[in-house]
Amino acid sequence: MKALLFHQSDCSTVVARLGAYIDGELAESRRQSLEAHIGSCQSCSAELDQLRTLRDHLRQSLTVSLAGQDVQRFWDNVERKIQEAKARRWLSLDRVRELFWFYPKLKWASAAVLGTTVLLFTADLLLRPAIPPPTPLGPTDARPKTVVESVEGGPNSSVVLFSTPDQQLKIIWVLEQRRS
Amino acid sequence: MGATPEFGTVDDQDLVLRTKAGDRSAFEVLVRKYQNRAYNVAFQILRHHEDALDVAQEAFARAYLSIDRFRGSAGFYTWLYRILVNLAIDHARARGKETPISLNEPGMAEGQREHRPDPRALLETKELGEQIARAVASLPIQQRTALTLREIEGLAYREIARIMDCSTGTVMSRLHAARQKLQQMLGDLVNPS
Repeated sequence: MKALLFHQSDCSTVVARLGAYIDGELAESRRQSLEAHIGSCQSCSAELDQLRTLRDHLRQSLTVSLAGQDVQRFWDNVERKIQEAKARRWLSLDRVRELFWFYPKLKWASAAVLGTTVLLFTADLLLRPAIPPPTPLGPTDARPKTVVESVEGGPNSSVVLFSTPDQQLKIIWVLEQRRS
Repeated sequence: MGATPEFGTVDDQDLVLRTKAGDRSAFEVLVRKYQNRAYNVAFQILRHHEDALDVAQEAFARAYLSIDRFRGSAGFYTWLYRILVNLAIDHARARGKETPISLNEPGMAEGQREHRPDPRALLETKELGEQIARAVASLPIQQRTALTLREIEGLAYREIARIMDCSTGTVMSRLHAARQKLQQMLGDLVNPS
């Protein structure tokens, strides 16, 4: 039973590689071991014949050719498309699209750069400390807090009298020269 | 349109260099050399004559406009096919549905198929061809593309992988899946006995 299971497993591996074998894509060592198996296995040998028949039918059935008029007009149409594309190329959007078409990985790189920029901008907005709004400069702030009412000076001292504009508070400021 | 040299004798690399230098006639030679094969690949993917013709011509136009980006690490046709296959798959997806194959389509019209002189053999082969074409048309587009590039164009797995932007292992598995489905659908038709 063990030998039979091993044989079946071997056949499925061989069948999976038969296509590569007829395509000439198997490494030399694998090709030799596969040929050794096919030589002793009728089932795999029949499978190989079927694949070869299928390949021959495909090659015969699927080949189509251009008809006379299409052959003649082919180059003219290619030239026309080249001219049309050149005219469109002036639009920068088309150039970017073409660049992305030829280098698909550029799409992901651009998306990553754009995503990172948006993320950083959002994070900056969210994490920036709140700045208090500036104090408005109203007409009251323009008025002086105190008014100098009088200044009197002597040889060694001066007296300055301050008062608030509404006269409810008065401040007397005595400035005396220190004697050394 | 001026006379062009016999394109079978001219090296692709030389034609590409001349095209890069501004020689439009060199590119015309490349177009005439590969137009039939490009159309065939596009037709196998799209199964529609007009669409295939348009996509093949568009692929050449894009190749010309981007010829400076072709560095020559792969063959010109590999690079061209990459553009072509991407365009064809995009076109098929944009179309949104797979057009079933019809032998009455212009692309499959009488005289466009391979010449087969024996009428009886032609009839048998035509019936078989119809069934095979229908079976291939029902395959997923990626499998059908890999199958076309391998069986019709005879490209190596490495080239197919480069064109389809995948690994050679993926190419192998797509081809294996495609062939298994075709064997199931076609049954005795592919039985050699």
